[in-house]
Amino acid sequence: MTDLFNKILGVLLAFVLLVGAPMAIDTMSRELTMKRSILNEMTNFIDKVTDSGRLTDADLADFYLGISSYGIAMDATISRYAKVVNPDGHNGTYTSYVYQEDIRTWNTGDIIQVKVQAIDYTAAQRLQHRILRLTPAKFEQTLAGMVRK
Amino acid sequence: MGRSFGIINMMVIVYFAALILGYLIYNQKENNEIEQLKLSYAIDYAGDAGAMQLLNTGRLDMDYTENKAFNINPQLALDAFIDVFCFNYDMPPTPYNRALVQGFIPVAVVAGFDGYYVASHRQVHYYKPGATAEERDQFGEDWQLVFDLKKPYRYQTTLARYALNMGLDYSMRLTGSGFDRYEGLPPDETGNTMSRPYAMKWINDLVANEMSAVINRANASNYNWKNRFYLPSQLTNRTGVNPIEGPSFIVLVQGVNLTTSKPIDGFSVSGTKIDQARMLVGYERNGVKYYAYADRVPNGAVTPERLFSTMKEAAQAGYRFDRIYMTPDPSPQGGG
Repeated sequence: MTDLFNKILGVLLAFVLLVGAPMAIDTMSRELTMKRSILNEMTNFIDKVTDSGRLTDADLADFYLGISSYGIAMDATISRYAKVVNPDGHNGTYTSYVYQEDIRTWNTGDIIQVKVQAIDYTAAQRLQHRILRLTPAKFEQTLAGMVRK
Repeated sequence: MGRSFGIINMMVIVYFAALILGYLIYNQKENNEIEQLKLSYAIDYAGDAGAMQLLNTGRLDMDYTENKAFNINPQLALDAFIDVFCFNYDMPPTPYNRALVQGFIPVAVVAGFDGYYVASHRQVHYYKPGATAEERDQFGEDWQLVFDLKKPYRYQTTLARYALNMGLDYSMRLTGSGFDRYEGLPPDETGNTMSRPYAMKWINDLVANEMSAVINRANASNYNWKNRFYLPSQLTNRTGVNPIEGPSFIVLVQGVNLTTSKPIDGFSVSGTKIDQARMLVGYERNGVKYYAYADRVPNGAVTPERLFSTMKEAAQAGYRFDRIYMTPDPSPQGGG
């Protein structure tokens, strides 16, 4: 009886190791590639704005499409902080950054901040939740650059 | 039979446990790797902003007698670096956040035309002109990242001391009889005039040594520190590895624990390059606006209306590329 039980258990575990392990490794490595690719998309986009000082609809559409083309849908927030320098009353100055609605034209010294958030969970995260009951956070990254032109 | 199956199953369970453990470790490594990459991007963007602010002083004070000379403001560069770094981690640049970021920077260097500034953490006594003793006590003191005095690119022979600069056309010489301007580069160990690459290497080594001294001091009580620090250009003699050639801004960021459980490090050298601009001249011919390089246009051939430093600027102002002067060998006009 135990022999039969052991056989069944053995088959089940062999299945887990032969099918489950490669699947887990594959989803994880794909997720790593996805995160890297999205960071690259973000740096490309920020470089484009910081170098040219303008942002067209085509650039925006390109970026939105780019970040969502690695397996899961992403949402991006682009913020512009205009640089403001004021006298501080003690013969010095202080610098502050003021949020601006207009993201089409940029001035030198403005800061572009790009936040990308995943709308959905990735396959690896679902797997983690299903098997190990972990609750990994959704992908979220922020990068910022200063406009040079 | 049953026992051997039992042993095999036990092993399989051990494998399974190893798989889960590996999964968790991989997950953590993946997180770390992404955060490390993000940190390097953040430092690069912040460094770029700093280098830009370095030169954003309106006027470079450049003239023809001093090749590649410029004035810089190191504090502006550091402020811009810290601001952009804050934004990269989604923190508004408030005094508290800025102080937090300053804590991650053990050393920063701004290399200028004829000297360099090193920023390190030191005690700052707040002081207001005419403050009473009570007021001074109230201000107190604090550890802050502040810049030293400017240090020259010094070079010493048995006869004299020299201060090099990045233009490499002249140096300042201090001898027993006085201080003067020395045309050309000083003599090296063999007595011949120093070569330009050697002089650049000397400047790079000086800055790197100064930085490592500061870093070692900052890490004096850090058991994980290996007392090694190089600028990329010191490790190779290949070109294109970003040595200090112009106004440069170099920052080491250490022990960032904003998004990871373990502190991570990063390093950035950002530089700008100063060179004589090839100016474009805008003019009107036969009612059409054209632009061409100022040195290509024959003397007196056109009446310049505006000057531009890039083709893009010229085009934005409504001027067109002039094929007659811009092509190296102007083809004959008209006919065949």
